[in-house]
Amino acid sequence: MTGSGVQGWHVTLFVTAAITLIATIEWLINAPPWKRPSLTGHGLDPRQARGYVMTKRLRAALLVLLALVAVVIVPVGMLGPTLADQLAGVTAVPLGGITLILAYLSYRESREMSALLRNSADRPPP
Amino acid sequence: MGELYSRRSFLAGTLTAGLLSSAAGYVFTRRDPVTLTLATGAEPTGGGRNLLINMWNELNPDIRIAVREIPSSTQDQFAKFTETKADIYNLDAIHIPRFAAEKRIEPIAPRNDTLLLPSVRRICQVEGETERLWAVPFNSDAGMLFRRVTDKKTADRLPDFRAVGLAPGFTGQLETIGAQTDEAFVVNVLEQALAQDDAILDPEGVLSYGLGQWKTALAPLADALRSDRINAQTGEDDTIRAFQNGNLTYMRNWPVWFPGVDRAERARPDTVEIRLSPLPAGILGGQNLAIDRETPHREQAERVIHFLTDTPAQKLLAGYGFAPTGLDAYIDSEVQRNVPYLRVVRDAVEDARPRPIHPGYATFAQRFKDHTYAYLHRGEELTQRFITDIREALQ
Repeated sequence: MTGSGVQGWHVTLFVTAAITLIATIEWLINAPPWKRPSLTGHGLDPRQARGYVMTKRLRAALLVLLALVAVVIVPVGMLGPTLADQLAGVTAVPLGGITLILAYLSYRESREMSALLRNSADRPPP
Repeated sequence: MGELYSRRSFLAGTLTAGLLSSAAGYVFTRRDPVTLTLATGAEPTGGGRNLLINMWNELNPDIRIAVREIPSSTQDQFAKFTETKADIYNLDAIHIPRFAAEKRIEPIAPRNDTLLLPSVRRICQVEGETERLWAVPFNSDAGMLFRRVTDKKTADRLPDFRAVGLAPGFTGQLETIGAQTDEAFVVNVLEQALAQDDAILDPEGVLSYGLGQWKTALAPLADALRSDRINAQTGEDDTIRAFQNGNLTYMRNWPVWFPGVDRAERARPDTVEIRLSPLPAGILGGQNLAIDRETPHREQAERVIHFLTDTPAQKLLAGYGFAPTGLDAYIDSEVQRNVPYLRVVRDAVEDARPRPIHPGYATFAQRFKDHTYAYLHRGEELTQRFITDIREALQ
């Protein structure tokens, strides 16, 4: 109900974008994903690890779905009549991108862990 | 394990909460901007209604009102309004029955229904119905007598319209030159007839079909017009000019013109004040807001109409000379202070008679004008044909 045309759904999107931006910058500075420790050195319990792989896959799938929500918001916002709509459309682009990156990381880890589990199963016990 | 991915979990959680709540907010609370077209006649008071519309537009950027002014007369208002694509119509009271009969408008419930003056409420209904309203009164109106007071020291007795309305010094809309001024002529003739015979048009808008009754009621007016005793003018604007330029004492007009007339007269050294008084029975006028049956924005149109017709809007319009439609505006002490003549206007509106409430009103008005004009100005006798014609139009 203001002259700028800002509506409730814009506000949550803008707040999400602000938090995500700050958290991402902090993440990239302090613990960039390309420097993460190897999974092999953590002495995974195979039973725990199997559950963990499932969780990772589920998480990746849910994040892909979430990215699709962001993908829908982009054109809807861009086509909106007010400046707030268009800003929301632009804001949804990096949000969707970050969501996809997170989904990819979860997917990659689940694959790596699966491979690790297969290797440990093939190795004869000492 | 958890610590390794805590940042990502946080990010994932933030994105999940933010994107899902935005999506849900979009689906459930999104408001698409709408522009509603309001078809209306000209604004006579220099801004009262436009001010309200501007206020709405400022407060509601998602539902804007675009005003489309359509000059029209009684004969062509239906055609002109309906050939215009509009969401809301600002209708003269006489057009509501036809718009309802032709299914161009839908019933609507006003927000201040219980406070509407009964006479004002009645003209928003159609024949045979006592519950549904087909439009919400925007402003009311009733024919009134303006009088020039030149000396406050002399006693100012309430004038008798039966006498002063037929005497030198009086002006009214008793001449017509075309479709634009015909309705004012019809209204003035009905008021003069009512002054002579209260039963010629009843409070439900039902006309008498007695030829003798009409002849008797109109004879004094015919005499005054043919002998040039009174000043017959075409339309409200010309009447005001004649009143001002001729320094006349009495004028029949609508109260909506009072602030302008009063302001102009107060600047003259020979006028102390303009005062208003009710006619024995004036004709009820006023504009009413109705929703187009085919509008895709009915809910928004209803919100707009409620804003424009509710009590605060009535109080604001009263300051511009519009007669309020509801009791709450008439009894408001602040409005009474700003509009000292409000009590007289209320009496006039409450006692006013509606014109026939019928889809065939335009035809009736045309025939009524043709017969009475010929009688009053050209001296042609009123015959049974007059009664047959008006009765046929209202069947």
